[in-house]
Amino acid sequence: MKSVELIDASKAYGNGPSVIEKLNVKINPGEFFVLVGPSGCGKSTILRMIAGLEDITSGKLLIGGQPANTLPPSKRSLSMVFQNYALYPHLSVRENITFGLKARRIGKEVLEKRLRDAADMLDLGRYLDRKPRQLSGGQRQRVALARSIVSEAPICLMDEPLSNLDAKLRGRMRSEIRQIQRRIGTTMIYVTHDQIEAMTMGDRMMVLHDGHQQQIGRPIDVYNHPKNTFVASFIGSPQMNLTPVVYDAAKKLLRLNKDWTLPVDLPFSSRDLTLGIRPANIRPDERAGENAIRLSIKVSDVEILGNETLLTFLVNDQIWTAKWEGQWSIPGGTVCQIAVSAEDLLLFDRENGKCIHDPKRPSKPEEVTV
Amino acid sequence: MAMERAQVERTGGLPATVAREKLFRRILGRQPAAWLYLMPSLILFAVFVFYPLFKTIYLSFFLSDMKGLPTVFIGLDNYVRLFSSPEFIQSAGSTLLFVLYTVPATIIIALILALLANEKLKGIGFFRTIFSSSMGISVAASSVVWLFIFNPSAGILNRILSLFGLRGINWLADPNWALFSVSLTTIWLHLGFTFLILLGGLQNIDEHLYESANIEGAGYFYQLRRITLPMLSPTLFFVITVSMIDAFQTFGQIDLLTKGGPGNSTNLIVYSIYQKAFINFDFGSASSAVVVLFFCILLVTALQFKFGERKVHYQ
Amino acid sequence: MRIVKQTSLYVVLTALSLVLFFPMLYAFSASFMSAQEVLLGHFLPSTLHFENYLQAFQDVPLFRFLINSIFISLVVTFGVLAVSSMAAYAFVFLDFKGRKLLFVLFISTMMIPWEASMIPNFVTVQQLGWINRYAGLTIPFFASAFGTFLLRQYFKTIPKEMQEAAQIAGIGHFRFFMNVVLPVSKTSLVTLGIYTFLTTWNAYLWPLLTTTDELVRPLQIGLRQLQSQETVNEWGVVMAAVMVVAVPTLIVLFIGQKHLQKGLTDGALK
Ligand SMILES: Nc1ncnc2c1ncn2[C@@H]1O[C@H](COP(=O)(O)OP(=O)(O)O)[C@@H](O)[C@H]1O
Ligand SMILES: [Mg+2]
Repeated sequence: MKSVELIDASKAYGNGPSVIEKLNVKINPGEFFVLVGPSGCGKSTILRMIAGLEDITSGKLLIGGQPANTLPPSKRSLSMVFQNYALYPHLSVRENITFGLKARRIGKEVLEKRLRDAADMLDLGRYLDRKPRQLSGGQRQRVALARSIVSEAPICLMDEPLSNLDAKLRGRMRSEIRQIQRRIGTTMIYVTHDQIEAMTMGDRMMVLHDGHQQQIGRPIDVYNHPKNTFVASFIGSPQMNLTPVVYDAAKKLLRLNKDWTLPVDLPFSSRDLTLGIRPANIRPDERAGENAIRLSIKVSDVEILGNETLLTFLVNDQIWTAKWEGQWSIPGGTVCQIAVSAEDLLLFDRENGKCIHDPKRPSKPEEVTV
Repeated sequence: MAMERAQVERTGGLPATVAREKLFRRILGRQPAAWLYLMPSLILFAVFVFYPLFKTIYLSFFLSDMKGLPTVFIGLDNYVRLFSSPEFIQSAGSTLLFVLYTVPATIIIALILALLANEKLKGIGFFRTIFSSSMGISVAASSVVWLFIFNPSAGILNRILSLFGLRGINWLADPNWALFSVSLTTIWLHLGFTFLILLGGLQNIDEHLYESANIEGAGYFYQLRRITLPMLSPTLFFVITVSMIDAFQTFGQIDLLTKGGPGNSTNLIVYSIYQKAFINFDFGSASSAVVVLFFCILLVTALQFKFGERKVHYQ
Repeated sequence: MRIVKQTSLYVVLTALSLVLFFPMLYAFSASFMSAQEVLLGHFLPSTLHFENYLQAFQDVPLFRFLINSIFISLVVTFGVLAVSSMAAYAFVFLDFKGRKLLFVLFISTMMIPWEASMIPNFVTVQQLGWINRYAGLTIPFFASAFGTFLLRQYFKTIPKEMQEAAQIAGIGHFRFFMNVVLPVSKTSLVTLGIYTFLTTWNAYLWPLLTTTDELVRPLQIGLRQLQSQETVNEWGVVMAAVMVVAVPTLIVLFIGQKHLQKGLTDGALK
């Protein structure tokens, strides 16, 4: 298994503006690394730069520690799964899976064994003689996976491989891909716009926005300790509640508006901030601890989703969401008490969006060292 | 780590090769193999299309000897002579008349056939095949068949006329009838292709358009006028262009049916070029006629591109 | 009401078919008539005079012409398929400088009528010693702007990712071209093949210019030769030869009609 490292990698198409700006990341051998960001932020471009399908405008790409900027795609020891699967319609499943191996003149026995193993792993044994158009979407997806598996490439790239599947199948394939990756130990670089996939599948993830890397880290760390407002709002569902506030250092309180204040003691002078709090950290009054800060709000809408309830209400003319466990049938318009605890409050610089106050963050950030 | 990176710096560059590669790319583009794939076409086009095109224009400014080789530069004299020769004027006139006789008729008949053959009926495939059949019959074969049909004594046309007590017509030898007869042959010959293209165009029209029109109770002719013809307009345009170009290029029928006669009445432009170039070996004057023909066809094609393109966007 | 409409449609269709196909039926019928019967203007032969066919094959080397036509048409068909598919591949799957410009150049050759280059081409072929050679009848037609255009339209529908997957798997361009692009495009290749075969088989002016003897002469010119040789009365023999000329292409057309219709419409409109 090989590592992949990008050093100050940038990309511009033709003479256009740069769509990727100075990316720096090292993906470790055997790691499941997720590139996540909204559509158009440059994820596919990064993947295609790694694969050699696009030139790298400036910066370096190392594969297995070796410079790879000018290597042709076939020499980069990687396999790739495409969003539309890119199966050859005129070849049977068997031929599709082994097409690349034949080009590499892999011996017949080895080829047969790899085919059998991959087919077993993905439950494709029965379909080997069918043509792609005789398969369901999920089965086609598996053929594409099998094609990548038999190549036994140390690095596997996937570009939104699940986005053409229905929701149920997507859930199943998520864990299946994760398991296969663990089993064969390949280095996986997985692109998605779906933050749920990013949260559930990756060892680590990189959040991207407009071609700029925002944060790299374990999903749980990115979720708990977003580095800026973009990451905070992109990761997590429902979205983190964000609202502009002013910190009054003299009175030691955060002022949301004229009648909403939160008493907190912060280690800096008065300034404009953005307050962030996860819906799950807004609790019903009676379930909150002694030290919680209590506020009264007017409920505007209630959605009971089985065993949890989403409450929406207005704060500063912005819609906030709270996620409460259990079923709460509260009529709209009810005024009720909510509670937040000071240690769940994230504060971001209003100017540049950077997180400047995160009480739960360990003193030394536990990012995996490069 | 710093050391590792420094090492990469040193081994990674190979500046000479990189530079050379970049130069290559600058000149040939990212994938120089492309030229390999294009080479056969490029060579053939160069030798058999572009070179001769310019050579024709070149020849049209020269007198030529008995072998057809250029001798004396005479500027535009060939053109002047061409436009002042009554034969050429007649030939151009006949060609225009021929276009007028054949193109509208071919297209209207083919359109009617295509509309009929577009109905969903059992065994419609058979009729479609019959209607398109003339596409599979060569100019030579069909001309010879029509030569037989037009034959004044044995031919079926005059037989039929005599059944009605009418006098037989000398179809191909009568200057009043010859161009008409050649046109008839040509219409029949071109029906197959025109039909096939129009049928394809009809089948490309979205079924839903008719379904909603039916629900609104629109009649057949209303639908034809409001849906079919507008949606078919790009195809019609294409077919009109191709038919006109075909008509300009007519040769085989003339060679087999009339040899340009009687009295030059069917001496269409390509046939007259053929006679000039390969019977009289006057390449110079033939070339000037070719250039005129070329610009006529270019004009028709340009019109198709200008108007045809715009219509295509309706789809 | 439906029945009435359908029946009248069938009647109209049948009538039109008869009218349109009449010349061929008449020729077919005449090809079995004796000279006497033709002269008397019979519509059907009293007995089937197969001699007409024998006579046609004796009067001119019709069999030789037939073989020539088949050979020439097949060679041009495969030549066009090879040359155009290669060019179309370059236009769709390869990135090179001046791609757009070159494509416009290709398309522009469609506007140049073949007659415009006829005279110098005749001289070229003469100088190459290709008069009365298969080469002169085939090679000049290998490059086809229409064919390149038609195939390019189809190749463009092949997802780019397929090529990228091949690139990553280390499958070279030629292999990808041969093993993926061509098989996937089978239908448009067949369309172009049928079209090319028909047009080559039916070509008239060029073979007339470049075949002065019977060695490589194709059927069309053979038919002209026969027709001009025959005395006025031998219509039966001439019609027999017409059948020999027309039947092969009619068969090709009948088999490939559907393909051709779809392929040509797509090529014309996209
Ligand atoms: N071939 C291309 N030429 C020019 N711009 C491109 C090309 N491909 C992508 N882009 C631009 O680059 C940006 C990133 O695209 P992409 O990497 O596909 O985003 P993502 O995969 O995250 O949705 C977009 O703004 C897109 O418009
Ligand atoms: Mg993408």
